[in-house]
Amino acid sequence: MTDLALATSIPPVMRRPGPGGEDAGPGWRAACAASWTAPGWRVLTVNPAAEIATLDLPAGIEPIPAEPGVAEAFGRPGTWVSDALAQALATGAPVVGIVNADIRLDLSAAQRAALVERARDRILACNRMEIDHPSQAEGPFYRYGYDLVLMPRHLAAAIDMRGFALGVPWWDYWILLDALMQGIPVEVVQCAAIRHLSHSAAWQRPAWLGALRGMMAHVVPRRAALSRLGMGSVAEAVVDLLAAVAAAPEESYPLDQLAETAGTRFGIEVVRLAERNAWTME
Amino acid sequence: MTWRRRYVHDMLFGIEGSGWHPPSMRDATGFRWSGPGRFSILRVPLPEGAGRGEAHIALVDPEPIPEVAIFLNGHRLVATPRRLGAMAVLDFGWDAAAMAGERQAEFWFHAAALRQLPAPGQGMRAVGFRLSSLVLEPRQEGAASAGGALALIAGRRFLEERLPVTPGRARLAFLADGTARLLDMRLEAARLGPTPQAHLACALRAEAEALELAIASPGLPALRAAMSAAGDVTLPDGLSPRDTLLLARLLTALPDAYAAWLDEAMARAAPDAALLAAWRRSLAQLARGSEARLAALIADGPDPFAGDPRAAFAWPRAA
Repeated sequence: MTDLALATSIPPVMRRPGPGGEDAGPGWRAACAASWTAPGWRVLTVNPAAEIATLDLPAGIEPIPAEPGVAEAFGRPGTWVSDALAQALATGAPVVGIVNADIRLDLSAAQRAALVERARDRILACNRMEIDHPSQAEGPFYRYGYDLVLMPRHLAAAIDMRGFALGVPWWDYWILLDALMQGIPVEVVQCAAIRHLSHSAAWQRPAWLGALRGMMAHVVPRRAALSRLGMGSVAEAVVDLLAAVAAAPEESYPLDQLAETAGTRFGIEVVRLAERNAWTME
Repeated sequence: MTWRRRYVHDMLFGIEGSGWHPPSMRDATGFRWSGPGRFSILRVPLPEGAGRGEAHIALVDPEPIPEVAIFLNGHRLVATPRRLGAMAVLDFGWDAAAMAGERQAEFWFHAAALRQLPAPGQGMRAVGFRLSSLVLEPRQEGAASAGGALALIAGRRFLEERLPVTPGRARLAFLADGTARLLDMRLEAARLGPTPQAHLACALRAEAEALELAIASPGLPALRAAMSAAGDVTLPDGLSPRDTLLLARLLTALPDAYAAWLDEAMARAAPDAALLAAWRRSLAQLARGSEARLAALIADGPDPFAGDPRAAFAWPRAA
């Protein structure tokens, strides 16, 4: 019986700086993939069809061809979040989720069960613990991102993830924002067993700004719902600025710079909003 | 499996308190430098009861972990530092006494050392440590209850309209007399009911947990109050029932005046944090004792609604 279906998109190649200049990426990639499956946990990797033959997957991870369009939108092949969620929903699992491909889950059976149980009626957005070495047991949590997101299937069906791609910023913020605007309960969770091997940011500024514009296209029609969240006057003004900039990119200098600053501020406003309901799981 | 509620206070956002520079961001980590003094204050909402917390301090390797003392509502907390990647974490806990009767948590951070660093476009500035976030986990959460809401609303209106008090701006001088701690608290522009008080001189003497207090208006004899070591407050004789209540209200407001003074006076100061903490606790205890006395007088004393609330506060004249 499947308790949880977890979707991800494992890249064919992963590079991470290791001790002595060696590439720790292949080992970390394998360790992450091996850590996800467990009794009751079904794992799908949704990848562009051309990548699937090159993935060299461990047992228990099911490859699924991704819908096209990410490369055209963001400049590199990838997977739509809506596609990944739909594939997880198609398993019939009562709880579905998304995990970033470079997250290692060192969860005990009891922790897995607790996460699934808690995600039956709310969205759990888990921060990652940053480590500098695979064997490091303790590190700081990264509060400005959510690398494992779990939710019950009926809520997953209610979230509108069109236009967001795995590996491109903002999808995790939008899940939470969309849910909160719909009145869906969201909890931010920190658990030391959700680990990430530190590396410099992989995304590029144009993709970041492009994804931000995509998110604003979702936000603008629901501006009134956003106001009801009580984020404060500064957050609301930032949203209006971002909406104006997204609507008129041809106005040019210095709108990209404005959008980058305002987008950063809006991102941390979303984090603050989500952290109104923050929990630690031990 | 344990789930613990976590309250996160991100220093990138607006804060209530003082002794912090504007927020900064470095390597996706937000923080505020403490400074320009050693003493920084952060006030946050927190349920009553015991709990634990973490002060996350951003480091730039190979920087040592800064030495920072932490207080909660005047209670010194034992803070244990540890290094966590590019952060230093100060772990601390508090018992129920630190939050007893408090409306919010007032954290004090006392940096052992300051250094001068350039600020973009602002010249040099004194900084202590980079506080990124304060994470608080109460061990037990009080159950919210709607009971008594009407009484609360009525009571607040009564206090604001019938017994309005403003402590004004405090100026403080700390003295000692043998083992006794002395505090001269001068209140400027205070109000007792409808009556402005240009200057009120409050002389407090604390010894062995007991407190003596004399409050004087210029040219008039001092009113004397006291608090026993057990926290029982005795209010001065010679005042009308309404004015006795007003004076008790003033005593309950002294911690607020003290907090405002801290915000104002601690910039660039090198304070004796232990002494400040001792007075913080004494004034909080005096406020709680005065509140208890006020409650008893309103409940069982002369009719608090009798008399004209617009009548001036009447200081007793010398016999």
